Amino acid sequence: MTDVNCLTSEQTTTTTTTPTTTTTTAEEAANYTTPTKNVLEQPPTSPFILRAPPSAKSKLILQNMEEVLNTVKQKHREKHKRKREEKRRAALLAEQATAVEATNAAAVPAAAATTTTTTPNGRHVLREKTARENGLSQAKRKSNSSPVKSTTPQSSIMKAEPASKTPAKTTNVFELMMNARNRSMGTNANGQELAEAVEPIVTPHTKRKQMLQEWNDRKGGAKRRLADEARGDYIEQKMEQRAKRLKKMLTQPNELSERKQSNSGSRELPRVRKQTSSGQETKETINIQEVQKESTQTQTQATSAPTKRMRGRPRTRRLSADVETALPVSADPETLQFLSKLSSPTKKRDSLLGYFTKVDSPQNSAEREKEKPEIKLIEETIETPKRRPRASKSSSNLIVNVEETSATTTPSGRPRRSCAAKARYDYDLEVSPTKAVKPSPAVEENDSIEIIDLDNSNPAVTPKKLAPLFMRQVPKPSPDPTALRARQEFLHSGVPEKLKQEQQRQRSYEQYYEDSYELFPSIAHVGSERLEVKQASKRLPLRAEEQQEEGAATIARKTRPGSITSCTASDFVASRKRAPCSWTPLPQLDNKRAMVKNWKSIFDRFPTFKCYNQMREKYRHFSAIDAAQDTQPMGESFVMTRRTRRSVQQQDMGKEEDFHPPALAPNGELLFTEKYKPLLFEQVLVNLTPVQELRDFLANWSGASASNRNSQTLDDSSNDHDSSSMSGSCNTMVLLGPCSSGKTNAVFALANDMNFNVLEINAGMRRTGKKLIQELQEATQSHQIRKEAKAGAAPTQQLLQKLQQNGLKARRNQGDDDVRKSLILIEDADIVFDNIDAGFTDAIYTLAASSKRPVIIVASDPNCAHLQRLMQQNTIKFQAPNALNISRFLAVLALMENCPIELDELISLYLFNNQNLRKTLMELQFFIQSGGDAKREQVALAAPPSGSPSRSPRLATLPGVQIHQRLFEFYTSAQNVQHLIPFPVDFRLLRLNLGELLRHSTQLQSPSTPVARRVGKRKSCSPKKAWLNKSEAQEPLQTLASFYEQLSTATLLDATLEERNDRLQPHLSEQLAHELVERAVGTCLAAKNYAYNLFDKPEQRFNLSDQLGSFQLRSSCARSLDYEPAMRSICRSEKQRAGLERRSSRFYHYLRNHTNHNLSSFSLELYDAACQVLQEQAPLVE
Amino acid sequence: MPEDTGIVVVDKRNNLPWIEKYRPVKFDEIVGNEDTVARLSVFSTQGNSPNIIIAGPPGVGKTTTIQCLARILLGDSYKDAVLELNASNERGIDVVRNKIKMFAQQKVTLPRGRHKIVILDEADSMTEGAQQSLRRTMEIYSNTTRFALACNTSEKIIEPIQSRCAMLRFSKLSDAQVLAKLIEVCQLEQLKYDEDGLEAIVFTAQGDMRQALNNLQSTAQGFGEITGANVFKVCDEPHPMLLQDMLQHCASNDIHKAYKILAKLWRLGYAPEDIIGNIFRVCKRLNVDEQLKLNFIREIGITHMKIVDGCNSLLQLTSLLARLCMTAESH
Repeated sequence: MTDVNCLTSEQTTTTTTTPTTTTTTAEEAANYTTPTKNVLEQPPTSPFILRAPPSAKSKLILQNMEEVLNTVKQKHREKHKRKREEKRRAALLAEQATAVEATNAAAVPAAAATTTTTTPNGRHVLREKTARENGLSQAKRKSNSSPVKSTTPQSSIMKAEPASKTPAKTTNVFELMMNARNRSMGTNANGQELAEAVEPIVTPHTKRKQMLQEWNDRKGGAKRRLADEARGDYIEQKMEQRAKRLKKMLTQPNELSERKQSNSGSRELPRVRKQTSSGQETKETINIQEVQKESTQTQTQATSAPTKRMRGRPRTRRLSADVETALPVSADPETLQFLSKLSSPTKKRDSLLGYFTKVDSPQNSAEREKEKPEIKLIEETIETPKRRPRASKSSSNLIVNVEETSATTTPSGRPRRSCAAKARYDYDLEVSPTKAVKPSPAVEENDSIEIIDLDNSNPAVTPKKLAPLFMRQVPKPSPDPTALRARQEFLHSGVPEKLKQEQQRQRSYEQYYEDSYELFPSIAHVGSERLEVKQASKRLPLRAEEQQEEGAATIARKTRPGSITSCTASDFVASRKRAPCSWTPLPQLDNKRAMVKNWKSIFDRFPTFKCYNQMREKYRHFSAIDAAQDTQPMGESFVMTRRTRRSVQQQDMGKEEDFHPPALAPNGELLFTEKYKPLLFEQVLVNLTPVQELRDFLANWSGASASNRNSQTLDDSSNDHDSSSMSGSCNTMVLLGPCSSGKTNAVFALANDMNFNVLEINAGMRRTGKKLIQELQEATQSHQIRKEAKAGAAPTQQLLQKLQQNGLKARRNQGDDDVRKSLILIEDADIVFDNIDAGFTDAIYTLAASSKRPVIIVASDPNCAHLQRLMQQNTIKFQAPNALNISRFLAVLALMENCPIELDELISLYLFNNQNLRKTLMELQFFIQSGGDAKREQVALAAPPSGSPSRSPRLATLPGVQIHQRLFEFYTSAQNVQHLIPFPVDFRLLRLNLGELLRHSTQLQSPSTPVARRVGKRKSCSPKKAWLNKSEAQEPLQTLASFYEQLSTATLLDATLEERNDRLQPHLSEQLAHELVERAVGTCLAAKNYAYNLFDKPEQRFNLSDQLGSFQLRSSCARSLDYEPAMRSICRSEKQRAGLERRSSRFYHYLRNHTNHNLSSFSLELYDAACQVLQEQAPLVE
Repeated sequence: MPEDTGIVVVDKRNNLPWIEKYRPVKFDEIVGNEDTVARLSVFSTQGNSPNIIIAGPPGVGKTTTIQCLARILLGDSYKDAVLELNASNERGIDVVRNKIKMFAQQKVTLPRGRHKIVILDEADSMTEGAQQSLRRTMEIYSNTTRFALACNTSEKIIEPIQSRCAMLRFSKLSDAQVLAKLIEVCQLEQLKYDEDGLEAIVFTAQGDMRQALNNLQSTAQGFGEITGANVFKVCDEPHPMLLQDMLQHCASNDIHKAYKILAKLWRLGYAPEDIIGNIFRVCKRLNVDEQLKLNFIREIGITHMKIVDGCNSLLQLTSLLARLCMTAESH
């Protein structure tokens, strides 16, 4: 079956490929026939190789062979198969043919021997194999040509050649091979075992095969002759076809070589001549061509399959493919008949084998024929175990053929089967797809050279040398010493000179070929333009250069300075001279009291004089300290207490305002926040109510302690009583309030005033629960703390020491109260670092539960979940102090610092800082101590006339006293570039200021000047009037419309900006928006002299779902209808629940996971605020 | 004393990047934000500087200013009395609680009115926890230690920290300021330059002195001469002159010429974001009627919005040109 397929496929390939070569274009043909040309060279070279003496360089050859091997193997397999088919054909013919031919046909088993392993010894065996193949091919040719008259006379001569040579040397070679094999692998008698194997499992394939065989047997005898005739006809036909093809090939290679000649020079000429010289050679080339074509076919097939696969797989696949291609071709009835005759491979093989033996030794032939049935038997036994691993019938069939033939003829005891299988396996592994895809011409050439080389150098290739399965026991004939020597010599010989030359030639030719022909086709589907560019100019053109070329006209003209940047021509001329910063200390004001008196009338309901006196005291005090410290090192005595104050007052009663700042440190050493902070209760000027509450709270404790002090005898019991009565309800107090509303200062001032020791725990310390309890244990469990003078090693003492560095150890040296109560102050209690401050919250609650001392907890977050329970007990809420009061306070303060500042400025700054007093004080200090208004003189001149109407009355000044006015400007305006609107446009502010802007717009007013009555209502320009005044160039309404259009675009631009936080540079859309607004204000409105309000930020509207990750919320509808209410209700319940227990629930975590904020800063504030919106609205509804 | 060291240091630096080589060591040399810098220089002589936060875009001299202040204020004891932590240092809660606090507690003898300084550069990259744990420390040790923070966005500094500092906002440098410094550097480096080149550098820098100096150095070392063409070879941007021409063509309602330029720029492979950005910047200085310019900017803004949204095709830019032409026509 398979053989038939192979044969037909071969026919088809040959028949199909030949027209292509003829019809294809010259270029393609050139590509196509190059391998064949290489092959064409071979026959003439072989004699040289034969003649070449073996040298010691055999290893080199071996290496070459090894390289070649992988690519060759695949091909060889194909060759074997084909040859086996042909062999069978030949065997059929041989029934009538002479014995001479039979010897050639016997080469087939030898070819089967090629499938040996690649052991070092096995390599030359492989070479042998190839040699045998060549011999076989020759034999085939002869067998083909014998019935029909061969086209060339040489064929008969060639025919005789191998026959005469083979009997002499074959044994030696094969024995050498087998010896080598045995040496390398060891003799294992598996062949015998297999032969004795029990009845095999007969697969359907084998059954079918057997059936076929039987069928063929039945039919064969009668029809064989007919078949032979038919075959003879067929072969004749085929030969004719081949002759035709040959002619074509002859003409074509001529053309091709002529074409090549132009490229590769005269090197090709001899080749062509050789081709034409002998028909036999060309015929051979065609054969080889066919082989190669087929091999390439299979190679490509092999590449399509994965490299590692089952042994017989590729073959079967190819066969199936061949069957497909073969079927349509084999429609010819003659051929069909022929094929049907051919389809009994075993029979033919048997006859073939018998024939072989005849050839070898005619006297043995009879014996051999007797053996036939036996062989058949054994064949079956051998076959069956093989079949199991084999996937397909065809491959197994082939192998069995090999085995059988080898079994009959080979003298050595090794079974062929195992080695064949092994070798085949190796092939599959070793042939890498890449190699298989394009076998380089060099490799092919080597391959073919090798073939011919061995063919001629070892004419000893004989069919006799087949491994006999049944003759294993027969002692091995000793290798012929001469042959062995020749063999060794050959192996030791290096690469023959001719071979080298040939290789070199080939290499140079390839080199030339590569050089002359582009590796990649110039017709590229992409990027051809770039290639041209690259060829045109070697270096990569710079873009700017290219740009320059076209834009040369524009760029060549000198850019006017300031055309693309805001630089002016004068900037280029000279580097600007910078005014040296001239700082002169602020002049000491002498008439502060008089000024304050003036102000008193303005500052209604503000304790102006009280404030003034306090400040004056402090100012004097610190000035005195500073002045004193000019000579002495700094002491600790600057702490203001009642007593010192009194003494200071008494001391300084006489002098009014004669303190001057010390020379060395004109700015003093303290921050304003420290300098002017209240140290006593009376000094608290703002936020009085919460401080009073706190005082009442502390007074309880202080009073209790006072009573204790009075009745020392009842100390313990009353203490216990007091504490038990109190601690249950109010030993803790939570101070809630925004940043810098004076919470901590109030505590310290009261503690100072009421003689408490403050044990402070703040976020800057390590405050794990354990540590907290440990440190505060003593303080919480007793009312008193030991006197500092006798301080032990208690940790609280160290804490106190630290605190006293802070300048708050008031009354330490006062003799009357030795005993001081302690007060625990926990700062920043709403900030808990979960992973670092473990147990902090629990510690607070423990303290609150067990402490016998007042515990004051300061927090700024009213929604802090873990403090909710404490907050519900005792809370004092602080609020940011009133701007008006603060401005007065600040004004007096500034006056004390010799730098009176306009009230407006102070209010503005305070509001701009979000009512943050501390920040305002800091900035005030920065402003004042760096000299107030920098350009003092100019402002002094300019300020009085530009008395724009401001909301609060201006401060009265005395002659000679300058009121500073640039505080707010300094902190808000950009100093490098002047903007009308502060740079990142806040559109909420803009909306607030729109009225003001429109009011000051000259553009809106100017056209309406003829219509005087419109001045009052600029904004509400009626369309009717606008229509009436259409003649004018720019209508107010039009102006307004365009202004609003710009604004809306700017707002849109600003809204696209999403992540305001993650940016270093101001975003382009921000710049665009600002530019738009500013230009709109500048050009559309032409507004001047307007006061842009920077601080009246309107209430921000909370959108709960804005806080959620945006990825979840796509539709605004779902957002407002589903998410927001859900979130709100969750928030509400969460807040309620947080009041009852202090552990956060999973809802809390849910919300936390859904916020955009970083997790550490999450608070429910947003949600709470969102809830409050509803809570505020609810009463309205009711 | 600072003057001497300054000159010596400048001489020593030869292989440095110019931003380091010409980093100001005196307040006089600091470009821009003159008012604030002058005030800080007062503090550097008078002492008792409050805690400060300097916020502003990159390349305006925030860090330089703070370092100047610290160096001049503390002089020789700079090493002992200054703790500088930038984003490359670890500044977690532990560092604040230990390192900074330890530093604040350290006793360093300083002249009166001088304080130790903790410089927290790039403070907006500090975690919120670290900032929280810093807040009370800043207050308690304010008698001995002052803080100077530098950051890009003040929003990332938590409010308690902001409330303990005077916030000084630095704004982008004006083009003239950058130019003045560039000329100064060019003269010091003895570079060949022309106005075109300097203006090109100023244009590309966008008020960032660091970038301006880097570009200047790149151009100088790459091409030697500071010309406009060389500068744009280094800082590959859509050429402002081309864009200016384009806008002028639009203003004269000639879309064909304008489109030619745009198509050329597009072919050169510039990103539409770059093109629109430069169009905007060129348009700001365009020599056309103010009202028209305003309308131009609005159109540019709308197109920018589209590009940001992802419609960054040539079509969008072309439609911008068309709309500009229409605006010019109706104007």
